[in-house]
Amino acid sequence: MSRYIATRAIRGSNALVAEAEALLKQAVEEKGADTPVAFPNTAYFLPVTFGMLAHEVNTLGDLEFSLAHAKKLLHPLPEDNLWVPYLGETLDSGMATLLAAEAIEGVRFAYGEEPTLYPGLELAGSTSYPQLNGTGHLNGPIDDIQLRSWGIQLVDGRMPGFAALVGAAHSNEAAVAIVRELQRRNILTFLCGNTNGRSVIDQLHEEGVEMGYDTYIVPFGTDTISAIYPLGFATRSALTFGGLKAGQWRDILIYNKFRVFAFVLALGEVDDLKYAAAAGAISYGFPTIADTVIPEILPTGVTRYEHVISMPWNEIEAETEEERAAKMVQRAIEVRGVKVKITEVPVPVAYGSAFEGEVVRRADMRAEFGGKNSRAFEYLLMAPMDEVEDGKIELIGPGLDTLDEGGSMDLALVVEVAGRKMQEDFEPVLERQFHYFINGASGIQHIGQRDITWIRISKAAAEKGFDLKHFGDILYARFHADFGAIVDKLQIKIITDPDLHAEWLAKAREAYDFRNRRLADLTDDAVDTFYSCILCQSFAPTHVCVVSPQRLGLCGAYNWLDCKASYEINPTGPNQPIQKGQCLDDDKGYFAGVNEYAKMASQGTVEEVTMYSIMENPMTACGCFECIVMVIPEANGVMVVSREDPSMTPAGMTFSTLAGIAGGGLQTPGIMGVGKFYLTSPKFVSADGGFKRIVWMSSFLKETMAEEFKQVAEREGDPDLIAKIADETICTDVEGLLAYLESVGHPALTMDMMF
Amino acid sequence: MEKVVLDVPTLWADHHVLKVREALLPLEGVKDVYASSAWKKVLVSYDPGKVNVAALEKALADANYPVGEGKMPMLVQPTEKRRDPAWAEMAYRVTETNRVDLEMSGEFRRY
Repeated sequence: MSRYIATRAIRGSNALVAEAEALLKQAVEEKGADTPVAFPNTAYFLPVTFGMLAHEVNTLGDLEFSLAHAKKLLHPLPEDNLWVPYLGETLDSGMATLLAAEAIEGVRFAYGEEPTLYPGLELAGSTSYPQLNGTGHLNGPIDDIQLRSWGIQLVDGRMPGFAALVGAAHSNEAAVAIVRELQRRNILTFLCGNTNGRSVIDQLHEEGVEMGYDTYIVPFGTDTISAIYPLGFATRSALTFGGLKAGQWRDILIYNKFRVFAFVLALGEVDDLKYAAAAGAISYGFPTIADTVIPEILPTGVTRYEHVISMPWNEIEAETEEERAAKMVQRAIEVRGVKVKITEVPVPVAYGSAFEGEVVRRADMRAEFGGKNSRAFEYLLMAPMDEVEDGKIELIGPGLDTLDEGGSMDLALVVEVAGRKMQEDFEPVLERQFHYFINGASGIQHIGQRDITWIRISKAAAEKGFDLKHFGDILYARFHADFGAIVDKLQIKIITDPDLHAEWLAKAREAYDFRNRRLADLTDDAVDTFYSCILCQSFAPTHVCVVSPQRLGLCGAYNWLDCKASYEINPTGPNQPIQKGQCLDDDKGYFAGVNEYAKMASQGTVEEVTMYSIMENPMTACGCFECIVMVIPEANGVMVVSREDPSMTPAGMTFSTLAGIAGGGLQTPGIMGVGKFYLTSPKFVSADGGFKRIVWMSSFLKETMAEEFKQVAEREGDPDLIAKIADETICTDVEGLLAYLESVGHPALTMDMMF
Repeated sequence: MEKVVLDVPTLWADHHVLKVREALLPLEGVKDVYASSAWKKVLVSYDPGKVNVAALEKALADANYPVGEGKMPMLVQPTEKRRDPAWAEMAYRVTETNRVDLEMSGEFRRY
């Protein structure tokens, strides 16, 4: 253990706890101990404090307990002459620092000083605040909504981990290079801290790098105290997905060490507080890699490999800043043991999932395909082996160079696939990947699917040489890399020729129609095999999703066909076939095979599971669900809260609070997490009365799924049903809900009692 | 243009750096400030015709960062008896090696 580091971490923690105490004392005097303290849209209060101490901070007065506890963890400085192992003291100091830093952020929220204002910054997706609109401020803490929506990517490996960048890079060019290198590996990038007043946030902003949830780059704050937010994110990962409870500090730290692949990049000089905060990160198993000369801690132990590494920027052997950044990031992921799979895609722009959320605005657009002024579609079909020439990419018709700047043109992406294990059922599964694959290119925006595809190429991408043919290169590389088990050969036609475009569009529409009818015929009764999804067991060890044709996975990302394809691709992977076996109860959906599998895969935690009931042995949930369904006993029905809805619900809890009850692999009758398209299934809680039981629903769902719900209402024989369902704009309490249901004559009021 | 290095013992973290720069940069005659929380020093480049060291020191003192005064607060002082690490304070303490630790702590323990 480094005495140098221990001394600085212990000194920094003492100082920060003292500062937090003074700040809190002043705040209590000025504003009163009852002044509310809360981070936005989270059910976990101040998450590190909550996770470590099981202490709920709601007011300034509640922070006194946190700081009293932090003080107990402080130590005196190591003596000059006596050599002792300082690790325990340093880790104590790290935790004290985190508790104090979170208390300071809590006080800042009470004063309205968080999130930090940052004029001129426009975030591409951020935590929402009542008075702000995503412009002119930094993000502050990540909210529960975003944590959950990233959940599936964190568990399936698309997002291998996160990096917290603290300070400022050697130069703007270096900052961009480091961030691009992290993006290329789909590693979430969290930004905080400064060096001599300059933050890596300033550097990226000056270089025009888009920041926000959508680009996987989240600017938290311009000082090291805001580094508490990434650690709050890590703590909540354990509480949300790991089924851990507040106060299980030891389990939370171990969970992070082995399941959350995060590391700290200390950019620029390292002061006492940065050492102390790094000690806090080390408690979680997160190592620190510094770009300056600092002492190292190399033995393994609390972290999986080294604890602290020094890689002075100027001493990294490389010719360009990009090469230096690549070496540094490579070293960081080695030290943390992050597993990263990179598919090399031969396009002239940067490529990675981190670019998926990028938006190309009209002013920055070189050309667009689809949308208002043209028609674009994509179609993937199976073809015989001898008719497919692997790697053949044809551009048929005029190219990008014939278009004026900002112009638009019809476009078709037709992919013919051959493979010994390929099946017609996989066509739509593979076709849906176009969206993710094409969006991965920096400067390209892809929206929609089938014949409502809308693609934009930015000026920046076009200037770097991106052309229509590169769509083919992307699809070719990614299909081989990701679906190599079922795709042996593929050829791609990029069609802009009007006659051929019309001809293929007709063929594609015929196929879409066929698939729709085929999917409609695909019911739970028509198959004898369901599929499991235990992808999230890396995060929620006892959760088992059972995916049937009429009940997709609760994350919304995997339906029955996806699971079937996934099993073909990886027979030992997370999606295993489950023979339904004997049907024990047709109504509730008890199947002998499903019960047996659930018991085995949940390590005995779940004994029985129903497919169609919320009241009896409902399916468990990890934490990635799109919606929560919960019984409202007074209304004899259920409410559906969407992840995107931060408002209060008639259950007296917000989505975030409800999620704590629904998630973590627990079976709780009366509440469950579901995918939003399950709501439209005839099997949606069919044992309890089905869709007509919904008495309240987030307006977000009503708006975004209006067409689907219209059809469901007609199927249920009540075309006005959706209007009879209340939402947060109508009422957020039970009294208001009952009054509304009676006024509109909601069918749930006259249905059989749920209990 | 002249340069001066000022010792500011209470400048120990980067949120102090922001405050120190905020205090000095608006002064007329101050061209550049390098505030180092690692070394607890501030390097100021200034025009002596417009501002002097006393004014710089006053600005820092007004912002609660007096030059050459104060120190980092240490809430815990060394005593004759060594303090044990206080992990037990977090919750109950497991005193034997936990099985889960052994299983999860990596290959190196097996050899």
